[in-house]
Amino acid sequence: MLVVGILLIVAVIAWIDLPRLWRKKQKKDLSVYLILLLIGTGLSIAEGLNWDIPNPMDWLIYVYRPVGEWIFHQL
Amino acid sequence: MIERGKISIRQFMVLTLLFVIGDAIILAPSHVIISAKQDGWISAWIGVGEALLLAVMYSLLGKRFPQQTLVEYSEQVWGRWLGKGISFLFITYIFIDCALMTYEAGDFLTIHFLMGTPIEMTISLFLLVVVLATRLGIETIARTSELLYPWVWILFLILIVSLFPQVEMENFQPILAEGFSPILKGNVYFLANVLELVILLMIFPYVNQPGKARKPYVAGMVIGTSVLAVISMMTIAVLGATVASIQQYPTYILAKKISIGDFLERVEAIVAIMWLFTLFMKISICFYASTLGLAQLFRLNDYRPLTFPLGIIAVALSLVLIPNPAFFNYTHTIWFPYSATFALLLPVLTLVLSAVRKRWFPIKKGM
Repeated sequence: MLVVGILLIVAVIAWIDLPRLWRKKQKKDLSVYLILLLIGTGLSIAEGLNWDIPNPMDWLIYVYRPVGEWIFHQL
Repeated sequence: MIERGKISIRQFMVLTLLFVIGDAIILAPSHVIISAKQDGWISAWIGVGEALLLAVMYSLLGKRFPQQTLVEYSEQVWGRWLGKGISFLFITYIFIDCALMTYEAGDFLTIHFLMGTPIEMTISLFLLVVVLATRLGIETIARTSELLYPWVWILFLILIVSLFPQVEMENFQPILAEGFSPILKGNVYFLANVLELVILLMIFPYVNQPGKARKPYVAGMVIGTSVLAVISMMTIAVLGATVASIQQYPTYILAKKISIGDFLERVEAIVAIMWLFTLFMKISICFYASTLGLAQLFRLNDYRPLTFPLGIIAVALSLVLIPNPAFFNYTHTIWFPYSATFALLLPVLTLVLSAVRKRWFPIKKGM
């Protein structure tokens, strides 16, 4: 049900912009658009079904926590 | 140029001011109070001074490249591929900031107003408006900010004035009980919010009198951070550091304290409305900047088609980034170094490198 709902929303969104992009034949615009739409759909479905998605914030914490701790230690 | 819109100097000032207040109006007091306790207001006022310096530095960068956004000129300064890489990381920074703020909006609404409504719903609806604003371009966003601007002032003044009877000066004591160290720590948290102003470098070239964007930018930043400092002071004076530091949103609790002659009660909605206004402006600008930046990075013809796909990604990303409210507080500890990478390191290096290039490797005219 949830997947159907998300796909429906994506279909509405594609209906707004896709025909115009298709007609203009701007390959680069179209490919960036489709890639982003695909990522968005995949991410929404994965999040909606509670799959285990790698969290970019964990990577940021991994990189920046030592820096942050060092700064606060200095003060 | 992808965006042909132009905004006036006054509009740019208003945009900057609302951007600074943004989500910070509700977060900044708790940030400074958690580490600096009753001295938090000192941290905040130091932050106002730092905002002035930062604004001057960013406007130097904006003045050096008056016709281009950061994404466009980093390619010139850093070389094609390194520049593209840096721009991409900068865009992800803006986009992550956008997703985090969207989460804040959804979280706040579901905690205080729309209890029981799934957060996915509040986030999606909020972002839908942001996407529509972005599709209409920078001119529309700037005009919206002018429309909301007087209301933000009116609500702010109502809040401050009606809290005056509750001010207890004892709450400020003892001053400097633990020395300067906690104050500086509070200041670092405060600064993490101010550093986000680097995002406005994406708007700089659209001010209709190029090269004159500095004054409104500096003014907006200083006035905006002063508003935050005043609110932090009020939070300490009315609630006291102990009560304020255990609240997720102390500014909102502050407004709940308003009570004048058993007549004016329960007006906390004024803080919520003010915050939703400024937050909407900040999310819109961030979303606009990341969409425009992405389109400029790939040299697309138009950024508008990207708004809806990016909107879906932002909704999902905000829920992926912050699995629960406790985790959100945890992210504040890394926000300063993360922001500083793009808001201190990147502009300083870009300025230095562009000066070196200009001196020894002159760039061709028109680039």
